Amino acid sequence: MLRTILYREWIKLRTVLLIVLSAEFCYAMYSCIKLKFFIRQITPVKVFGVISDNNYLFFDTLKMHFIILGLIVALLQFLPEMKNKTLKLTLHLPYDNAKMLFNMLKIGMSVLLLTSLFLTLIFLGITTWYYPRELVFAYFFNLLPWILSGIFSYALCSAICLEQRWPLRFLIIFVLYYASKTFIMQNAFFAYKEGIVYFLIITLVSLFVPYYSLRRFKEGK
Amino acid sequence: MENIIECRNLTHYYGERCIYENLSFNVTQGSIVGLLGKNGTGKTTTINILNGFLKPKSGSCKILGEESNNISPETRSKIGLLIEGHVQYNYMNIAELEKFYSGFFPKWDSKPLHELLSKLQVNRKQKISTMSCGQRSQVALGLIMSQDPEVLILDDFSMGLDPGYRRLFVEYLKDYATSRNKTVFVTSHIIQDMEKLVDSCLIMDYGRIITHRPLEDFMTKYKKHQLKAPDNKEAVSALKNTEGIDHLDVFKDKMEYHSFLAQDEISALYQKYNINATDEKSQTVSLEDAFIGITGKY
Repeated sequence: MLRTILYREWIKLRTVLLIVLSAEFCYAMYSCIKLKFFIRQITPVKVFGVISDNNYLFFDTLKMHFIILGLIVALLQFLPEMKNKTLKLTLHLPYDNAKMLFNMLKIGMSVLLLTSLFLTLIFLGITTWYYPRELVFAYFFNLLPWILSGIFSYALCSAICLEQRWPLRFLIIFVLYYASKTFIMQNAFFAYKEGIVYFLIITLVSLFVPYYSLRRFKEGK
Repeated sequence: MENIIECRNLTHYYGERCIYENLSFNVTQGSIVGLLGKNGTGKTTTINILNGFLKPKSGSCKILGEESNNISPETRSKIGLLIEGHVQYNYMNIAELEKFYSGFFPKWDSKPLHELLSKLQVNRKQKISTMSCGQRSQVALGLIMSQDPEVLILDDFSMGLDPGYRRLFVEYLKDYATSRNKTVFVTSHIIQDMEKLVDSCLIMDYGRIITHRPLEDFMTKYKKHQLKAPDNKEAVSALKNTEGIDHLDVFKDKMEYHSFLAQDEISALYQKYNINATDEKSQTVSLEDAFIGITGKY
């Protein structure tokens, strides 16, 4: 059954997956050139001092990328389900409703993680070329809450699509807006060293919000 | 005969608005039952409750022996559902839909789908979103039939269809259901289609079921009576309030009403109320006229 669900979700997401992977590759190349110019402008011995003192993230414009990607994947997966209440067809399939939803979420998250992994590997490749290992690790650590913000925004946006009542939708939009901002607030290296566990917990909890909306849909609330 | 659908004392409200109270009905195995009612009487609400998409305020609804708000996946595989507007996954084409659904239904048989498709000018690679309403309806019906369900629940199947597609839908469905002994529960606004399809009709009005009878009763026993309006206004009023006399109207010098009562029962009523039945004409009516006679024009 999972293969069958995957087949349908693939139809929904295949175009965006290809576009995102291509865009990410282009962005990575652009960042690489940007980093090269940055290094050329500074005396070689001072490069790492400037980077660590100023918390220079050559990919800081990427901050919003994961959140936006999470929103896009959720909209592509769940908006068609809500159009003409097609979700009723999905819930009528001979498969456990909760499993159906969580499998759909798993597939959406896999797309997010796949694109994140692709980007992370490219950046790690670039940074390993230029930077010492400690700085590479610092960059990688700064990417983690951003990746989680993508999953968080994906989960809540899915819930917004599935939710039937506008007051609850607005509440989730409010939470999504302010909570996702906290994931990307800090640029400093290791700024989220203490908070990463909490972000992980919040993200995991957020994955149950769509299930709550689905239950309400089933009860006609 | 075994009940495939069993609703007992269903009561539902949307906010303060009562849709119906204590609604009870059964659908037996192998029958084709039409649910008729004016707009807003709760036909789609009933379909939603039956499929577990709505929790009634009180009462119970069983389908294939299971409570409708907790239908197991195995039982769902035995229920074919057509959602109002022939809704399907718009972003998929026919071949993709076939591949998708066949993965879920163990008894999947593509024959009915292919047979219906052969009557349409559609390509298997054509997306549902690019199809006309009629084409979409046939694809949706073909997909349901290919699931080989025990019971088919069709909500407003005639919505948006031209007469040709409606006829194709009805004939194909009737043939499929009778040849394979399937149970069908169907709603539609186009009542003349029901005449060619159903075995029995459930007629709903605001808040209740008025009648549930075999189609034959509507076609042979339900009659429209016309006669010269009697001068005695009290007698007219008494007849109007008699059980079994539907929507009695007096227009100029003519009186008109509908009834399931036999002619001797009608004559007994005339005698009871001292009505001199002049120029009386009684005639059988179409299902649509019977529906109007029972529920009224407005």
